[in-house]
Amino acid sequence: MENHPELDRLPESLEASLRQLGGVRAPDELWQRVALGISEPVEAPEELWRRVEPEVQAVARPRPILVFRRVAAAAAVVAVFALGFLLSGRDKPVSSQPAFAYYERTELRDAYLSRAIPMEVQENQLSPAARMLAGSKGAALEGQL
Amino acid sequence: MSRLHLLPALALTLGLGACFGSGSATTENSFDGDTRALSSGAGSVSGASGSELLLPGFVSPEEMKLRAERHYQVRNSEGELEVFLETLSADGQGNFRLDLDGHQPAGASVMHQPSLDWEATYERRQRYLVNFRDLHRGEDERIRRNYVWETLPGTILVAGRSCVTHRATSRYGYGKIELVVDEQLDLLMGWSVFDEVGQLMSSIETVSIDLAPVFGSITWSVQAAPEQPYRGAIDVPALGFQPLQVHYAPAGYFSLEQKMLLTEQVFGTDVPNLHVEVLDDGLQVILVAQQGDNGYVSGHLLDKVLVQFADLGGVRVAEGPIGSHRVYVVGSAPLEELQATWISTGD
Repeated sequence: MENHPELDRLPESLEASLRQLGGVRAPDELWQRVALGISEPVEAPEELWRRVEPEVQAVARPRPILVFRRVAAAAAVVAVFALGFLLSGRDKPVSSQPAFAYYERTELRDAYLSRAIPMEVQENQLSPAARMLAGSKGAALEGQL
Repeated sequence: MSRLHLLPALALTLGLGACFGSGSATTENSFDGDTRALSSGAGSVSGASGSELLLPGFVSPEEMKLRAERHYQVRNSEGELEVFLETLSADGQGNFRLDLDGHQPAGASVMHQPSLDWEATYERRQRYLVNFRDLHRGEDERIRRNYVWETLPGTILVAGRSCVTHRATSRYGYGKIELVVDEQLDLLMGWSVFDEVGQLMSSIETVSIDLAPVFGSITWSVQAAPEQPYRGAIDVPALGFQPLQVHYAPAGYFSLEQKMLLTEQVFGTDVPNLHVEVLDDGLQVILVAQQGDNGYVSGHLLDKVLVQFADLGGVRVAEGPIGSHRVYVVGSAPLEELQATWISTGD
């Protein structure tokens, strides 16, 4: 893999902004995306290649009797991709909709919460718009709208 | 196959394996959990058939022609239950009306005639109560993903009709919902929402029903203020501001729709226009509303911001200014979830 010495230094403004985040942990997805962004096709290590080469050559050898099995394997791969696509698309939101796996949520939620100072108020301290919205959702609050 | 392509292929295979592997190991999002729940819920753990994978259907009352008297019970901010006697009239073609006929404040032993203020409040809110307070059946897939379903054994009589009770328990520990459904009509006759510690937050129970009502000169509900779908930048001039985006929602909630409530056209600038995003988990909704520049300015996006919250019993609220917007998150999910949703709009 090539070295990218220019990646070692961040713009000062970005570095300052990142430092202001304090102890906030970046979501795993960020690291995955960064890794994906800088990854390149690389030569397999010789030792790994030696281990899989016989099997690869066996599969690649033209053998008519295996045609059906290869078609079946291809169909299975397509099915796996289709299933993966469908599963990833279930309830997939569009545009800005949140789409995080549950196990990622706790960290993300805590990161957001660490940026807020919560202050409990009484119902009569809520703004008129908040009372109106809560009333529309069924809260026992009289009020406009 | 060249050596160059070998690593990506291996990585892809391992990645797919990891995806499916983690899926089967995580009960929250797995279909294994669904199958178990549905099988046990149907009362026959063995011999689960394909039909048991179908979730029980139900029709919301405003979708049928009927007149129904109902008790709406909701916990107030003191933790006490208030009861409202309301009448829902619907023509089965999209028109409906919700009237308040009685109110039993917390601590009172009998139902009273509602005050004029409460009657007026219901008159203005009726459409939103039916749309956002009452439960509706969302997509099967979303319900399966978010809830474990059981059908309780036996039947119960509600307003003289035989009903079955379904229990939907949140897979994320947000509480549970019980739905009472007419056996013959698949009509939703009642529901109860319990919070994460099992306390009743709110419920509706039908006390009488007329399935062949004659309405005469009834006035159907109308929107209290003009309401339009929000389509994006093209609607910013009508709305008056660029809405913030929601970047976090409680588990299982996804955006259902975005609307503009053009309140200024009715109430003037006293009630600035609202952008409302409805998040849905298949049964319940959370409202994320915001108003534009009201003179509120909070700090830089990286600074901590103050979020006000209130537990009103049946409903929870987080609100406060983010930048020049004022943002409101309203729902029955745990307060921390609503607060995180609120702060995420500042990203």
